[in-house]
Amino acid sequence: MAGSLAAQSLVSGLLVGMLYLLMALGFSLVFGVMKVVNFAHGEFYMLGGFGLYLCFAWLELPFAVSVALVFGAAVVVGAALEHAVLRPFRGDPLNGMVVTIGLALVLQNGALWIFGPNPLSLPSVVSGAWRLGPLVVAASRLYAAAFSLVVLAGFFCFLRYSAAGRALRAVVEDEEIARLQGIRAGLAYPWGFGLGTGLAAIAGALMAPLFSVSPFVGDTPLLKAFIVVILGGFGSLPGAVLGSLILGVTDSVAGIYLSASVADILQFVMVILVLIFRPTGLLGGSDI
Amino acid sequence: MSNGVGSRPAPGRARQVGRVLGVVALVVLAALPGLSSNSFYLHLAILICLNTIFACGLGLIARAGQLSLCHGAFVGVGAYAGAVLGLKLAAPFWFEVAAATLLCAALAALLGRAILGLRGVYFTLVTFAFGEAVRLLLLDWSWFSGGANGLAGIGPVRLGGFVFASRFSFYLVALLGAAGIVLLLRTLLRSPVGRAFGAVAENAALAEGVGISARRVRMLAFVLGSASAGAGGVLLAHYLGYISPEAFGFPLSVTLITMVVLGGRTSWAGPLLGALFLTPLPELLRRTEELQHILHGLILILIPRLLPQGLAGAVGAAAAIANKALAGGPAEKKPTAQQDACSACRGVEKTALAPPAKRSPAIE
Amino acid sequence: MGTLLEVRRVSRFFGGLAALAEVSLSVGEGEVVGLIGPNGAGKTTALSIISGFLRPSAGSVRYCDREIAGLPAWQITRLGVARTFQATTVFAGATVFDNLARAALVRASYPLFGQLVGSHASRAVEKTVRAKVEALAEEFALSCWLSRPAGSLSYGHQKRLGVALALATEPQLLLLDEPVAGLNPQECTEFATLLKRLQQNRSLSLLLVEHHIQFVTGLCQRVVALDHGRKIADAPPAELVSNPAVVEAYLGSEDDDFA
Repeated sequence: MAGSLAAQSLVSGLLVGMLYLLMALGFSLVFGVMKVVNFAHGEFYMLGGFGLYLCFAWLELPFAVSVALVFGAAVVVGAALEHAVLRPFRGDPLNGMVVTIGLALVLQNGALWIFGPNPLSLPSVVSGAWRLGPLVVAASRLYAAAFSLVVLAGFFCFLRYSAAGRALRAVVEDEEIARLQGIRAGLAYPWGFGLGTGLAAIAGALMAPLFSVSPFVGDTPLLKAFIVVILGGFGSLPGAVLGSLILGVTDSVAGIYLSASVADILQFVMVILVLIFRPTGLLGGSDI
Repeated sequence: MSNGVGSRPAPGRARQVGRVLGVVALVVLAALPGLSSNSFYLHLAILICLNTIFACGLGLIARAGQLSLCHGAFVGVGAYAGAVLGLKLAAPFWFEVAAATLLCAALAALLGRAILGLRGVYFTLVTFAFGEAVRLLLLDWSWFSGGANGLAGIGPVRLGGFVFASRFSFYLVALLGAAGIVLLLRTLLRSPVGRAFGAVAENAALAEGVGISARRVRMLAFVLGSASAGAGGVLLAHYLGYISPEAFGFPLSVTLITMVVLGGRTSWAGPLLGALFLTPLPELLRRTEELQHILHGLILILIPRLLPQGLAGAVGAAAAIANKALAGGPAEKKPTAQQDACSACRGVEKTALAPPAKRSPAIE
Repeated sequence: MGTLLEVRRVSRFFGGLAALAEVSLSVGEGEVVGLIGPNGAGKTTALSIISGFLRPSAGSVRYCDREIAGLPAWQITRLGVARTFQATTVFAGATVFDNLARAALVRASYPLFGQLVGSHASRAVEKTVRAKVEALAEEFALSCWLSRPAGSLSYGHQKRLGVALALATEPQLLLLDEPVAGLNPQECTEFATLLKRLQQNRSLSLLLVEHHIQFVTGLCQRVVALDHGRKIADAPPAELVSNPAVVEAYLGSEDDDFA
């Protein structure tokens, strides 16, 4: 049944889109605050996966506790890295990008050195499958999706209702004006970066039980985050939501009808076209 | 650096040091195969020559203030163009080089036309996407590129009846290419156009304000830099005899960026120095590839902060300091004497009210 | 005295908000015109439109009887309209010499391929550029600092270098954006003298945006006042003080920007 196949892929596309969204939001947040393309973002996803492996499979902590631990640690590590490594390059995005490329190399190959190239698999959190009419969805996927929904809701509440979140949004919109309003933009850099890192790590942690963990797992999510953010518009959070849902669905639908390599090429062509004709993305502002 | 902008060496001296450094590096490169009859050194010297060609092109683009992440892809386009022309059409070497150079220049011009109006970050992202698209296309178009299997059996360089079959003869070709491109970079950077490059990199708005078209300057840098990568790619294909798409992906671009960052983005000797220091690294750390990448990463993290002008700039600064110490501080004395003599220039300059010089790739 | 610059009914909107609404003004050959107004009156917007850094939403800008609205900034500079900036006025990382040499490039014609082979022509260009830079540095009392990075100069010297940069492009019309903001009274007087001398020596036309009212009235032959993007006055400085609209919009309010 072609119809149910499409519906099935639509659902799994939405689930994947949610995880892309976690990646893209962090990526977009870092860009919004620092105007730097964070090439190390995928490595934080990878480290999140390894963090979960340590907490959940090795220390055998409960899943939710493990995820929370991973998130907390990632925020602190991210803020510390911003302070130690990226701080001298505020206002200098070119060198900032060079530095994040360096960071990505160090993190990925450091992980390779420590953990080796072979994928580590984790015990699954839940088993079984959910049936809804003709649709079958693995329970572990639903679990991951539910978790990411909780995280996303928490993140949006943080941005909307907390003072720190509002300050962060103000800095993303216009640092100059934020400063005039008395917001300490200097703090937004480490914590914005830390939060972005934390979101990437959570995405990695949630994905880890579904697939496996290796030093290279961050590469694809980084690419997807790039694409989502370019589609949706840099620094635009609603744009990131739209972009990741589009990408998640087209990914899994195209996976059925097109060969994987053609789908990949199409994605890059799409990215180039969007950047050329609408560089602020589908929902981004017109200021360029 | 602890010594602030105030003690920067005079441009004349930095230039002298740069010249000496560049010449020494070229001589080292030329003498490398003579160190031992071990063909490993010859192999290394050839790779350094090729990397110098690639890095010089990237250095030119960086000099205009842009970070290109598809430089490796342009090397690949050149390599494939050369290989296909040679294998399928039995084209002569000079034709391969000319065609690859023109193809890369045309691609860069097309891409540049569309994106050079974009701000720095967006430019970088498009080049990244373009690089990935090229790699995927090479993988996908197997009728042209042999797909993931790559192209094998690319013959030696043939020029006017002479076959550069031996490693040493190829080395001469590569050395000639590297020296030529270094010289070209040197003349370009020191010409009026080189001045315009520096202006655009440092402050594009001000550059436009004084009548320099930032767009044209960036276009020129991107086209010339990418075209030279294509020409180098042809040489690479002939040297290796075998090419595959994965060799020209993002990692190659990152390696080349590391060379430019380490060597220095503002001096013509920078890319040469970077290639000289970093090319042997994989051979030295053959067992532990991770370690090599970690070292590259550390260079990318630390050099922009510690030596914003790379090795070339650092050696120049060190030479100036040594010169000052040896000669009892003439560099210190001279401006003071001038200061007294110049009645028109009043005011104390030691404590600058203005913000310190911005860290930028354009510092001369 | 012929008209050099003619701005006719120029408007510029930012997201529905009119930063400039149907403003007309003109600058004659050799004339010094001031452009004043409270914060957000559209002065810098007007300057940016004339110099090509912003496109006007409507209206025309004619320079030497040629429409220049919408041309890129570098082309307008080549036609002979130079500007200084409020904030970033110099290439901070480059030496004073290189700063001026970059600006002097515009008037140097050179063959690209001649440069690639380091030809004789290229060296000749270099020589004329050097002579020009040295003369300018002399004129602006910057000769001692030629080999210093511009960013290490004092604020006052950077401001002076900013004007020298603009003049290196050999303009006929010079647009100055708050040339004396942040300078002390003595430096202000020096700057006024310098500008007067330059203007007379080169028969320059000046259009200057400035908050410092004494500076404007002392230097300008005519002053245009803007408020909320509209022109409210266009008169010699002496008549300006008696114009009720100007008094209310500008002189009446606190001069908070005079720092």
